[in-house]
Amino acid sequence: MALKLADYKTEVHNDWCPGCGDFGIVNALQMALAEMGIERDKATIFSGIGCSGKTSHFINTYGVHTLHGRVLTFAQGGKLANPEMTVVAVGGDGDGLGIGAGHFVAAGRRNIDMTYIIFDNGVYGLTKGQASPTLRLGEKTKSLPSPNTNYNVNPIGLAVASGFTFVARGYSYDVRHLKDLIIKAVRHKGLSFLDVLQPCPTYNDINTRDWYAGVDLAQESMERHSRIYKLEDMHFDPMVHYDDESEVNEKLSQALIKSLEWGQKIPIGVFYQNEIISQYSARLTDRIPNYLENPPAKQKISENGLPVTDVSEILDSLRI
Amino acid sequence: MLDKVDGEYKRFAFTDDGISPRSRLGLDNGIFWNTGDESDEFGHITEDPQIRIKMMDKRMSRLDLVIKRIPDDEQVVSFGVHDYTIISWGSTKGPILDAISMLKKEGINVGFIQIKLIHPFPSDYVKSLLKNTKIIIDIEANHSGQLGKIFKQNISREIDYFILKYTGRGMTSTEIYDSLKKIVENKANKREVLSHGA
Repeated sequence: MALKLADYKTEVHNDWCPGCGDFGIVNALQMALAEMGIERDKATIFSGIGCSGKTSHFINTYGVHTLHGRVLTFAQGGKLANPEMTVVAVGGDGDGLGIGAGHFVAAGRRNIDMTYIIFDNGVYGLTKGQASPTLRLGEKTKSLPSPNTNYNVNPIGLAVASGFTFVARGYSYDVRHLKDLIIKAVRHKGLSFLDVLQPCPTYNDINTRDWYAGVDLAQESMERHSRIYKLEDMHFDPMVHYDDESEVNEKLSQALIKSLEWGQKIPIGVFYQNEIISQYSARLTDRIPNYLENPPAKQKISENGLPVTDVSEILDSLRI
Repeated sequence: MLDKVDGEYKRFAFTDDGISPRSRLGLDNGIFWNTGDESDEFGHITEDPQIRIKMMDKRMSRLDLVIKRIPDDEQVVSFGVHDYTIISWGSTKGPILDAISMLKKEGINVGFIQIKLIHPFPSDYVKSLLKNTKIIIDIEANHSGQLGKIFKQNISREIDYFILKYTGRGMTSTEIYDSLKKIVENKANKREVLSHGA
């Protein structure tokens, strides 16, 4: 029986603020899962800590709500143990680019076949709106007593530099476009990263829905003028087409340059894609030839409630 | 650990023994959720006070089960119990045994129980082992006598002497021997601090 969108929803009460950008991301993710027809018990949503952390509870697949900054470690472990499973990790920009920045970079180097979505709103919304890593230097959101003293992390640039092989940005109020991006990201063979601009209506009074829609610009020019535009509409080609250093360098550099655009014009869409770089599973299979046929998830670990691993021989050999 | 799941599945179901059948990621029909916060039987995050009480009671009831399941000799190893008995844990075991045999040659018997299970603390077993012991000596490689504190907390009995070393060097049998001898001769401080090693 084909699964419907409703099958991917749970009955867990949602306590996000009215108008939160997170709703658009959850909806897009559920729509993407439904459209791809991924069986509910063959997908796991891993989430970090923060408002976005509750995402895994709202989606009716396996769900693992993990630790602050550590979502990628759990998610990579889940995928390594069970390579057939669809794995999507989600978390906030504070979670993934603050405390989790080390894991972010390490994940890029591995290129495990899974997807990471950052809910990017520039504030720590769950803890009353402190400045998070993507808030710009000198900006002062609602609950800051004085302007931000730190320079911002560039998530797209960091992903490209760390080795992510699919790097894109979405906007949480463009749910259909975001859904399509999620599908592309999940189908990408390797580690995909989605930076989703997600207005926090409670604490970020700078990057609001109206700001992204360019309402202030319209007041100046008397015409509707969204800040957001789509890379695909500009015939931007993010794909590394062949295994050649100059081709790779060109696509990496244009992604980095595009990622620096902000202010009047903000690009969304796919910045970079490279399916030539080997996936981690291929690197593992070089060492463990039967890894894909016999991954950890298929191995028996217990019988009659007791572990099957017997270390007594090893312990006996160490006895003095 | 489940190999298959039929019907509705609750990863954290309330059960008589406090243990719920476990699915794993990717198992057919075995969907569950995990969270670091309190959860309901499905694993969904919750702040419901009644569920919290039931979940904590379930979780903590497993400590009794643990004590029953772990074999006695994995909890405490007894190398003999005498009027003077040492309690200790970890890397101190070897030099303690050597020091005990040095004393034995002089006709002095010192007992030793090596405590391997710290939590849940095997209170009843340790109490029964030490019921005839007059002097308890805690030997540890730290400043505060950590095991001694846990011992007192669980057994409601004072440690008589501490032999401690916290220089980052291992204990030697001779310095343990010297301290034990002082204790037996009633010349020791309550707290003997060891310092061998350059």
